[in-house]
Amino acid sequence: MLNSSYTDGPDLHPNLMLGCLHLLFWLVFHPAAWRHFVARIDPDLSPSFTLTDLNRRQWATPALWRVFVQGFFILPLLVGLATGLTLWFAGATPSAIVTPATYTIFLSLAIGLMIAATVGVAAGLVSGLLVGLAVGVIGSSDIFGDIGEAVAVSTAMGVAIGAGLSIAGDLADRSRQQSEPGRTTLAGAAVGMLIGAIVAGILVGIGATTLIQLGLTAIANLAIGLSENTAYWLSRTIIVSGAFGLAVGWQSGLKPGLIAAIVGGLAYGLPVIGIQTQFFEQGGFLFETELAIGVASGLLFGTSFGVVVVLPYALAERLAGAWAGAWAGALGSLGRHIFRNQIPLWPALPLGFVGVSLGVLMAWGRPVVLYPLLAAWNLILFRLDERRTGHRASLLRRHSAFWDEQQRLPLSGLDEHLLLVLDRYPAEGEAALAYISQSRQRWAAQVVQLELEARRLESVEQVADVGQVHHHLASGALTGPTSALLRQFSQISQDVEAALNQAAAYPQRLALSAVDDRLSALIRELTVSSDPFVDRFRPIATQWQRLVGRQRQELADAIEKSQEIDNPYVVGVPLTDQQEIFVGRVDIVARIEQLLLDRRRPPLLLYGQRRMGKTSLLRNLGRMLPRATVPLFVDGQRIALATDYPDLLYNLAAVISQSAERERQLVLPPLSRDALAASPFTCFNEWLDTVEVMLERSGYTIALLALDEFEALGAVLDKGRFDVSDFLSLLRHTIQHRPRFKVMLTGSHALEEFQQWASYLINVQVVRIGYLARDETRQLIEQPTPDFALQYEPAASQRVFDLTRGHPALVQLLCYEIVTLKNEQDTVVRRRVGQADVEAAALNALAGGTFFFADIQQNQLNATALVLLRAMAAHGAGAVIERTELAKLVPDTAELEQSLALLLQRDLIEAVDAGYRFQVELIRRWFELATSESISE
Amino acid sequence: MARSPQKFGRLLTAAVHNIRISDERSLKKTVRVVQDELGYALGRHGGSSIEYWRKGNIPATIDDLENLTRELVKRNGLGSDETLQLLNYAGHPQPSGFWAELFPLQQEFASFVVGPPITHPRQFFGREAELKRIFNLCKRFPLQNVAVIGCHRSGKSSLLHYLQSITTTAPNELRPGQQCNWLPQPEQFQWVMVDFQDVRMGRRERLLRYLLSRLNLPVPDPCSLTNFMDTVSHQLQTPTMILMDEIGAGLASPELDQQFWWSLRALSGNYTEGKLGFVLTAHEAPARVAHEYGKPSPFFNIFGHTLRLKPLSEAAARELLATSSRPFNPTDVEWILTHSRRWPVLLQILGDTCLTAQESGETGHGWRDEGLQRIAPYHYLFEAPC
Repeated sequence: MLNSSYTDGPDLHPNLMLGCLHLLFWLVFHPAAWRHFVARIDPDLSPSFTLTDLNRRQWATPALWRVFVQGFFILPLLVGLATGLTLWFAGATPSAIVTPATYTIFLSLAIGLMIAATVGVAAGLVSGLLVGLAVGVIGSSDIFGDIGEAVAVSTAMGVAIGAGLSIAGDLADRSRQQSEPGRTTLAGAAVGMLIGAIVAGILVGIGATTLIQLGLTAIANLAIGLSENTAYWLSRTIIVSGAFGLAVGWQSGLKPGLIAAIVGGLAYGLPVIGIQTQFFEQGGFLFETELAIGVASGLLFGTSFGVVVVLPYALAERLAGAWAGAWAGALGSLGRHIFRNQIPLWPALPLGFVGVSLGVLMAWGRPVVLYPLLAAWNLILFRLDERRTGHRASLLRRHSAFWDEQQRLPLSGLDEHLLLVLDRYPAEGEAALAYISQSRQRWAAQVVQLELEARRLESVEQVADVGQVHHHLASGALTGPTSALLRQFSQISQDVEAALNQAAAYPQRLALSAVDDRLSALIRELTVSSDPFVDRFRPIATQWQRLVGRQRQELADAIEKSQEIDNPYVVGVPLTDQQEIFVGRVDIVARIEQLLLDRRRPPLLLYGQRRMGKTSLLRNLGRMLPRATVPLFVDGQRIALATDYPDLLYNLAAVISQSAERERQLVLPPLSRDALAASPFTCFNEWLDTVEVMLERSGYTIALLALDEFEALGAVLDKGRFDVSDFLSLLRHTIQHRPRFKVMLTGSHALEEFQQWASYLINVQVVRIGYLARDETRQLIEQPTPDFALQYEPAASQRVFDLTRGHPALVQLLCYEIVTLKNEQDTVVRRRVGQADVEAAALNALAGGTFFFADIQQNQLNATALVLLRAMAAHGAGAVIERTELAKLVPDTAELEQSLALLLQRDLIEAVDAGYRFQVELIRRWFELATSESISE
Repeated sequence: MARSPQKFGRLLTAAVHNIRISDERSLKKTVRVVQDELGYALGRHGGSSIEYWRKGNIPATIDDLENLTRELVKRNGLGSDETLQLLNYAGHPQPSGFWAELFPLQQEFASFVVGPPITHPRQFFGREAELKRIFNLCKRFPLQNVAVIGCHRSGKSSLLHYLQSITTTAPNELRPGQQCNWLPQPEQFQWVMVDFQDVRMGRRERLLRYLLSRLNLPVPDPCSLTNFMDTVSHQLQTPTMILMDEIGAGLASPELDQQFWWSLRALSGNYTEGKLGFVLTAHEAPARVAHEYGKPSPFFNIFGHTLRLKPLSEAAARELLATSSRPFNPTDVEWILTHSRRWPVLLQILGDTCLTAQESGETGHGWRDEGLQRIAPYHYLFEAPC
């Protein structure tokens, strides 16, 4: 059913009678169906084919003959029937009905065939029918009076022939559109062409009619020797024959023209002979006579009328196209009718012209005239469909949009009807939508398509649906701003799909952020837009944005959950001023600053245990001391590589220069190795002179020569590679005679442990660097960096302090392990540190920080001290071991004293009341574990 | 094979014809069109240079020669042997090297590796926690130093090889799903492996030269410790991890004295802006080893992180066994897991034994006895930490 309902190629009704009405319906309302019908009969046949266009093969086509039977037999019969019924209703007797009915049948047949031969079969069908009805029905009505009837008939004939011929014009237009689909005609040009066609048609119509009149007169005048009556009819016969032959010949060539002339002559001549010889009256019964007269007069009028249609048409069609032909033919027939029947020009002529105009312009006028009726019809269908339930088929197929293709005015409500059917009968709705999208009501298809897309867009429930919707969008099917809008939605959908295809959550979130931005822009655009569809699409954009936003939030939560806490702690490596994790030591720097201003210029010793942060402090002095002080960091390990004095002093100068440049962007003069070779100390002192001058000029008041790891240098000196006294003399000389230079040694040994150093460096001021203060430690634990993500319970933070006592290296170690541990935990508890976490991390710290503890054991203690330490460790956390108990382990008092002194010096234990205890719990634990078994390895 | 412009020209001509007949579509092209296409591919305006080279003129630059060869190989104009010939005829300075680049070996990996350390990442399993820790330490400055402690044959060397190569190995050379994105920009990272079991690494100057060459830094003359320090401290720009395998052997070397180790510490801590880090392996605590060799160096104090290698996780061990070219039955898998206690070396040995038995058509559990015999020398792994 769908195939025949929503198509331009429906099947013709199989009933012969209904089928012919169906054909008429197509020609008037649905010419496309006629085109498809003709094409199905023979693809080579034009929709506007004439009888003379047919070749032998086509003449032999049964389907075509069926059309001829329907058009030129059944239709004229219907015309006769209509005439008869009209007369019967008017009270005529049966005998009075026969002649008019027969007359109109043959009139219709003659006109139809003549037009079918010259203008086109389609036009012939319609013209024959309409003219027959105009003459038969209106002419038979007894309501106008004689003059009125003549005027009414002439007007009706004008309408009829105009409408019939307009079929030819319309089919010609359609054929041109089909053959040149890409060609469009501007509206102005189309109007111009129409006016041209009208004018040309009128001129040709008048001209041809005049020509025929003149021809008649001329031939009649030439008929010398004949009776007036004979000359009259002969001249008319010749004119009808010649004009019809000319029209056909003009259209189709000489041979068809000659045949047409003969046929036309016979069709006109034979009835003339019959009438003139009173053959019909002499033939027999009245009925037979009435019938014969009707046939003859119908043929006479039909042929004579037809010829004034087809000749002007043929002439004008050649000159200005089918529409001009239609005007010419219609006007020709009107003129002939008025003049021939001597009808008063007023009001017959203007009314006739109006009738012709109405007929020819039927294709444009009918839709307007019928619009209210069709609107009502369509509304009724819609209401009925709304109430339909179950599986009954919809009535949409009866909607005029599917059978009246001429209707240009928008059929209000069609879009709603389509949507209704799409909802209830999707397949039928799709078929109807497909048809409408190609018709003159395609606006409805656009509206429906837009609504369907809007529904598709708003049907998404999850962001994944948003990412898939672009696969089903038909943005290309729409035009104008709606298409651009749908393209935006489609693009956003594609972006969402691309975002969701990202493998990781983070890039997904980034990509969705971009989508969010695009949606925001779209919403803004829709907000300020005045287009009618914005109200439909703005909520959808908002809905999408909500979905995307929710997805972003979920991703953010997921990322947050999976995000590992950044571990800022640094274990084992000195901190430079680049690391924000360096905390505290402000008091120590203040003390150094104070000593640097001491007029006695004492050398300084920054003393602290290994890993207590001495080097880190030196590396941060640049930013902590006033700008007028230049810290010159000298790594003892580095200069200890020297093999001789020049090498030693070269290295010293090199590291001083590097440090000055790094800390204060101060470029010191170079000192070459070659220059040092001859007299190294002299040369170095001269270089220091230059440096001193440069410092003074640059506004630097103090150069702090910070000699890190002096033990390393000391070890080298002790090995006898150099004469220690030479280097120490240099240091002393610098301290005493270069007021801008201050010297600071750093190490984990007291100066006394290096006796020679002590003898050269007098009045050394010791600056001790020890554990971090409580608040400094808390800062390092709880906020090592500004955006640190861990939160400590107060007890946990305190526990870290208790375990490390603020030992910077151990705080870093333990906190590193805490972050590592937390990163392995579930996200729910990841960001909060409790005491249990600290304890668990402490175990890991003991294993992970083996080197720190092992260094104490291996490198900082003697065997006796180790015994004492292990024994103290075994007593547990915070235990104070009395001296007497330790004396049991080391009976030799001197040895005990010496070992305890070493342990105290290394800040491993502290004296408490009558005994000793570990300073740092974490170190105690390591020794406890090491004593019991494994970790010490 | 000597340089020969004429032979080069003839081989090039043959290659152009080979391209033309390589497929039906190309067959419709004339030689001139093929030459033009080659020329365009080489960034020229047509095929005149190809025509010129075909007449026995060797491309003027190595780049031109290599690009030409690459295009010829890509378009099936040259096979493997012909490519090497063409490079030789053209006088390429390193024909074999460039040839190997064009025709990489399609390695086939043994299911199990018994004996040598694992050098290809595809064959390395587990150790995610250790890898995560080490790579996390590489993600920010200063680079921190890690000591990996483990018994002999516990997988230390394999771990270092893996560290060195996993981040830069193409994903298609890895197992499906094998993680390789440990570092955000691995190409901006350098890994230098020093195997102290190689006696040459025990020679100071040799070691310093090796390090500088692997770091793509100039080698000073003389290559003294001072000059080495100067070069590295002034010129090292790329974040670098030096992987020291079996540090004990290095400490035992007389030439690698205390000063040497001090220098490394100084470099790491003070002179490379945190761009230099160390990962070392040892079968016992290095501080103890150093002490034994009389080199109690502060160098080892910079190793703030110590990782002790343990058996693989069960999942990793199963994954290792699942790579067997012939699938093991579940009972065999369980038996191997039980008797290896998931130590990688034992998994490899037992897996190899089982696979060999399967391949030789043995049925039954005879291979298990052999496997137990093969792993007997490694029972120390089951005991207390080394």
